[in-house]
Amino acid sequence: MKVLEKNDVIKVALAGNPNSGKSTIFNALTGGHAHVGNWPGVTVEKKDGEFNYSNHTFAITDLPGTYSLTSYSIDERIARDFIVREDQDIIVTVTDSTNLERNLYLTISILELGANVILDLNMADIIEQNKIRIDVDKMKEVLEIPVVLTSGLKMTGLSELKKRIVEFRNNQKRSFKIDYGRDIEESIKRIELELENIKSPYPKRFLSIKILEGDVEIIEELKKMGYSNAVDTAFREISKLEKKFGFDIETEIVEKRYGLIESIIHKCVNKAATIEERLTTSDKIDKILTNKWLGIPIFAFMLWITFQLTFTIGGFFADYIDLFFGWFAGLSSGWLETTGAPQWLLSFISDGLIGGVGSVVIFLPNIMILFLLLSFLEDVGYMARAAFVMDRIMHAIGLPGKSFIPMILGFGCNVPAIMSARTISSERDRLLTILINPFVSCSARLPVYLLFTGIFFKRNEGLVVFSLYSLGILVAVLSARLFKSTIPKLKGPVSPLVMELPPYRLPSLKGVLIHMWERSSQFLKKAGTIILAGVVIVWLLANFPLSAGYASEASLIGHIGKFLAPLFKPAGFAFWQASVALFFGIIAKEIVVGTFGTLFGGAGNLSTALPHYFTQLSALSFMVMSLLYIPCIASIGVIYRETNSWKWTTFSVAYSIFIGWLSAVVIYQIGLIIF
Amino acid sequence: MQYQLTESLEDYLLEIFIISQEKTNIRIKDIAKKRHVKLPSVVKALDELSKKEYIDHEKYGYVELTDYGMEKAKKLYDRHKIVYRFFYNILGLDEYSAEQAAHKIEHDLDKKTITIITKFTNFIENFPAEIRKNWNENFLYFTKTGKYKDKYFLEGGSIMTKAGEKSLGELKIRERGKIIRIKAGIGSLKSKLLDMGAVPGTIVKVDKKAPLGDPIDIQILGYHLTLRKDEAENIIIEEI
Ligand SMILES: Nc1nc2c(ncn2[C@@H]2O[C@H](COP(=O)(O)OP(=O)(O)OP(=O)(O)O)[C@@H](O)[C@H]2O)c(=O)[nH]1
Repeated sequence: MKVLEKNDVIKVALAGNPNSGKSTIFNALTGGHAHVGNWPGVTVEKKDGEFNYSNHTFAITDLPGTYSLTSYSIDERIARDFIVREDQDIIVTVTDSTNLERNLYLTISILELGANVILDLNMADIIEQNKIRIDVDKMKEVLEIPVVLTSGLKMTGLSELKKRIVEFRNNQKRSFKIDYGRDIEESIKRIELELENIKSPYPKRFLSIKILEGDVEIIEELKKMGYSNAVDTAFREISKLEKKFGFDIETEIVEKRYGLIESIIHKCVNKAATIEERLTTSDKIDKILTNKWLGIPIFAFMLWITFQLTFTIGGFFADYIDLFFGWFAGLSSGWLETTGAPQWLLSFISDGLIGGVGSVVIFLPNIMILFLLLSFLEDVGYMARAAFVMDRIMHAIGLPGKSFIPMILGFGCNVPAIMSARTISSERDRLLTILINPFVSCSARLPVYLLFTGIFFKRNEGLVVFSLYSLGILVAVLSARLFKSTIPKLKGPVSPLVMELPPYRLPSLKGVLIHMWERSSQFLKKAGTIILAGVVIVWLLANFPLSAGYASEASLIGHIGKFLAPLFKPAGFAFWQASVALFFGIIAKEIVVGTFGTLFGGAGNLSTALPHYFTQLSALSFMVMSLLYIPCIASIGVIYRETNSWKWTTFSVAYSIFIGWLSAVVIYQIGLIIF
Repeated sequence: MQYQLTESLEDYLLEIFIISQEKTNIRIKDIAKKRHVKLPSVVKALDELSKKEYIDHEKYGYVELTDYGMEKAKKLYDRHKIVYRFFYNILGLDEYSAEQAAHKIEHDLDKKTITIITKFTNFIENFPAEIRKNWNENFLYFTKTGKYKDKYFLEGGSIMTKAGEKSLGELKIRERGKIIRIKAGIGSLKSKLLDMGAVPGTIVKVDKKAPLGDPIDIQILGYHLTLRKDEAENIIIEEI
């Protein structure tokens, strides 16, 4: 029925365990051109690509890396749903052939789904090195599916893979049957009978097995579809079997699958790489990198390097980008002036638009370098070790080990820090990590501290700045606690840690670069538009009505400042200039300093002007406010980008403003009592 | 003295007792309100009760339990409570249904049945908290799914490991074990562990621990798997 379309485009999905080389194969096939987005409704990355091969167009989708197809995690549900619902022509399962014992489990599960599968035995170069021979023909025969040997790194076997896809694209989907033993088979039959006439994309047998395994999602769905009878039957069968044999059905079923895999390997592989062989180098590296004494210092060092490179090299480029946009803005306003354009248009183009684009692009060097390093650490396999080493510490504050990295990066800039939370696989832990990140004091807040401590706390500048940083961490930790105990979605213990430590592998430079670019371009696309919009809005507020001076008392922003000022009375800075400065600070925190400069007649005047407005105490409360309220528009942009939800973004903004205000007030009021 | 009370009179007596726990002066209309009946029927019942010397009451005055009535009412109350506890604590009905059910059947049960229900209720309620919780969870799960959440519950196994068994969390570095089973009652974590290859019969070896002692890293099926100790506790092994 869909023959025509099928000849046009071949729909292929790549499935595989994490670290099986799936992305590498994907890049090799598509040449690195991928459309990166999210799966509908969730923040799990989805990659689509297209390529041509011998008169055929391939539309290829990279599924999330998973170990199985239960509904244990969101990734697995995505993969499972996609395979059955999206009507793929072929599923290629990418496996790490040095570890088929575990890798084949997913392939078997997908076969049970009734998909048209090609098995890709990847990492062929490594098994060759280790003199492991896999009898590909035998494997084809046993599994009754095409099998291809590839190496994503050495780029071998890819054309054969493409050939097989074309050749087998119209294969009938057939369900692959594992013999679960007479008793379980009988139960399956009985449940299948109850599922007569069911309209589900899943095969009946698959559904029956899943109910026996106790797959919550499938059970719920069947109940909703009115097949409670089947579920009841299954439960009866389960208790019957369990009474009769005293075994756990779920365990029994999984055991049978692993048993099958063992027999396949026995038939097709001349020798399995012993773990010692496969992992010698890797284990030796781990002896050092996760060593009892060295593990944490090495992690700290890696982090320090990442931090340094990101912010020093990134900062270096950022300065030039800043210069460039300044120059470009000047150039274009100069040019516009010659055309006789009105003054406000000049300002809109140079300050609003060009300035706005500039404030997006300025993050790029930081973000690209950070993701270059993170992608490298991830592809090498170090990220899993970092989580392993830090898990205990983070667990104490209710977060998994992987959240440590975003916390630390936050000291540089919250934008890349929030983006780095992507490596956390549990949705809940990731959300929590993102929500507390804005309280970690980023480097853009330092100018504010320096300005005020330089004027008001000359003798203990260092101490005050240090206390502010500590306060940020304290608020982050306390907020984590608070969220975990009050917000239903964030409640509950840290998600269990059941994580593979993949063997260390040298990634290809190209792979790392592609990985980096995919993430950076996402920042540009989604967060970029929000940042730009924010900058333009603030520009409008500062310039209208046109008769008023830029950001003066009579401008819209001045009005807003005057309107907001009374709110800060209990915090000790109830004058409109402070509110305006805070408002501008939303673009970027360091602008607070610049704004005071503009409002008080030049940066040089500040040291004499500010003491007229601030006391030592209100200066402190103002710094606390600056520390805690929304980091900046860019961070709002990435929070939205990463949570994919306006609700959480708004919550984060509102919460941070409230906490900032509250802390400023509390500190001011306590200060008044003490001094 | 062996006056047999009708069901309805028993209920009145019980109600009077309950009200008397809350206030000293009981009026007829208090009783009428509690039992949702009209005053005349209350008066009629009270007359009966007072004839049998369970209560003292003058027309339209206060109602008071006699010592004899008090004793009888307490017995009724205990019986009601135990039946209620049986439905509520043991069978897990909600408060309202348990109350209703207790009202319905308490009168019809003979002494022997009441005694055994009492003993059974005490028997379960006196389990150590841990076992009690497990029992409740399993029963609740069973009522919903028809299956034991934790099949080793039947052997007391999910709480205590049997002789010769250990949890993976107890192994030291470089020690090995063969997986016997995964503890049940840990929800989807069990599926995850099984899917990752932690099936019975598989050999595991503790390879290293994180610098702070937790999590641990094990070798299984030719790869490295990290687990927190809490998670490792759920994998029951036999040392080899
Ligand atoms: N030696 C060798 N290394 C490979 C091969 N394919 C991939 N790798 C390396 O294995 C590591 C993991 O590869 P990825 O392509 O990122 O794996 P993945 O399955 O996409 O992993 P996730 O992104 O975590 O899902 C990288 O360091 C790759 O360079 C191969 O055929 N041979």
